Amino acid sequence: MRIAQTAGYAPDGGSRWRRLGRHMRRHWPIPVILTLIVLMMVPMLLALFIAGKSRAQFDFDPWGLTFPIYYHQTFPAAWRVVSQSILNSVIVSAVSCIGVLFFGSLSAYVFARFDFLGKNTVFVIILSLLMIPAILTLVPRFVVVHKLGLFQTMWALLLPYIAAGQVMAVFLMRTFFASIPSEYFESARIDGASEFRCFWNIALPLSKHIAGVVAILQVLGTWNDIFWPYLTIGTKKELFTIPVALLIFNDQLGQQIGTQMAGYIIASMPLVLLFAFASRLFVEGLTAGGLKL
Amino acid sequence: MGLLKSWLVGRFGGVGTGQQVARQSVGARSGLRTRIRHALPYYAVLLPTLLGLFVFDYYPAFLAIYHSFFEWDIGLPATWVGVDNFVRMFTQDRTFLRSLRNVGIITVWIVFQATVIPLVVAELIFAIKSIRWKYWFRIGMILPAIIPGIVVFLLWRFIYDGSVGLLNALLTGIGLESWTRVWLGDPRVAIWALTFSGFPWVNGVNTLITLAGLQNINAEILESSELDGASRLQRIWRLDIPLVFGQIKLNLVRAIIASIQIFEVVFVMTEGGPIKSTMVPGLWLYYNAFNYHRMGYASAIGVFIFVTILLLTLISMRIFREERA
Repeated sequence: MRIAQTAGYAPDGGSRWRRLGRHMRRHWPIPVILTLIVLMMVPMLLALFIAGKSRAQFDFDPWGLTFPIYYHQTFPAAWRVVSQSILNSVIVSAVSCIGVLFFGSLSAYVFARFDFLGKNTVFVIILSLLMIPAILTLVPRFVVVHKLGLFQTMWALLLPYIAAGQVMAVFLMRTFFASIPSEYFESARIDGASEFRCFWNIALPLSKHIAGVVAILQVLGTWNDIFWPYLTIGTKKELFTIPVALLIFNDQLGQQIGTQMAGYIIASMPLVLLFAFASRLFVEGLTAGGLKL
Repeated sequence: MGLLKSWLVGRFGGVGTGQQVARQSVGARSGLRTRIRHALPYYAVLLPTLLGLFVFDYYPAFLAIYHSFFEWDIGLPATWVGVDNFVRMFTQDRTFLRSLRNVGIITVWIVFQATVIPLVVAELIFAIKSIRWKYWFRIGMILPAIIPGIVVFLLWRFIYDGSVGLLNALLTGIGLESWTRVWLGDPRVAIWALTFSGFPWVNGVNTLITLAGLQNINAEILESSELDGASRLQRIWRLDIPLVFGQIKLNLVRAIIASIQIFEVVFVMTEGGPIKSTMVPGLWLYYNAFNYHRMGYASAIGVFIFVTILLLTLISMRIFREERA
């Protein structure tokens, strides 16, 4: 019995190894990329580990997995510190996103569909903003916000974010609107639709994908911005956005490392949710768009 | 302005070229007043956009350039000093000169990280035959983007920590205890630690942009190169790289723009220290403006950064256009 088994196994096993070798030659990039993605996620995994540690556990073994896990203590403690700032960040990102989409798409539509005096010049002047680094305008923009009396208000974040986000929106959406066949609009006009209805009921619904890319870029940009809110919100705690809260929180809670990490994880959650719904849209927007210089 | 305009129009195909533009356009031969009157409603729609950009972008940009020739602080009268601010930057400000060296190191590495590594990773994903794996890997590439930048910076500060840091723990674990150090606290190594944080240095967005270029290559070209007996490396060098050059150049220019003005990561990880050894121009601008109240000098640093970015961008566009032809 045993002999039969071994005899049967040997040739079969040999071809199995050969097959595995062939398989590896064909598919070796898969494990390589998998490893890369895991490595890219390492900071987040570390945060997850450490968030479950008490101070004593952390001193004993800072980087491994230790038991028991104290999530039930660290997460509520972190939540109390960051909850208000999460709400602020959601408001800032959502409102500025809607503002950018509304005004940006309206302007893009005008640039794409009509011809009027000075259009090309104005368009190029808007696009030239893509070349001006944010750092150049940081200080004087702060002065302007101060003079307008917006210092330490939500408007100090919303208005500049909406203004700046429109440049990219106009650029991306104009190209898209211009590619919509004009017959769509002509037939709507014949049926008596106003130009605004053409925009609202025809152009906008067709531009879902590109609008999604614009929206995600805007949300990522505003959600991650550290310096502008740090400057303009200053010491007004109830207006802190996530990055400001984390920065301050980090200095205050240096000793409670588990809570600190739990705070980082909570801060990432809204974006995780967003990406669960929109990652496909974003990937397709990036890969199908044919972006190049 | 003329140069920039021709560049932008050349790059982005101008406005309305090749595309249908609504019919009510007023011919170029009608009078100027008619044309202005015709244009007014369009400007009314553009008004919110233009107003916002004027108040929060153009006017501040103008102020920055204007104030770079003044000694000035908020609330105080400004004194005209000509190009003194710029002269001082290069002759008396050792921290600024140091920051130039640092930003040079960071820029070289970020440019490499933004162009070469995404190309390699994109080629790897491109080589995968399974459509399902490809799909999930594309999602996996942008997954790290959902971790807020500040969280990544703070975690890396922690990985580099002298007493409890992961890096020192790993080095001790493999018997290299003599290599352990306070990575961000040693003036000689801090800038290198800062530059090489973010392992494994894969930029997901850039990878996807490059991958999009690879996927747009005509499959017949790739097949015929295979039939002609070209090896994979030959194909990548002779076919893929020239054909995705537009994408690589986009990544290159984006990397230059981002790295010359970099400062948030430095602020969070080292605050420019120890003893200003990791200072970068962007952060030096910030300190001058808000800690030392030298707004004029800070504006001058901003203008310097702006001009550097503009020149490097134009130079790299020029060089690589010729190489491609």
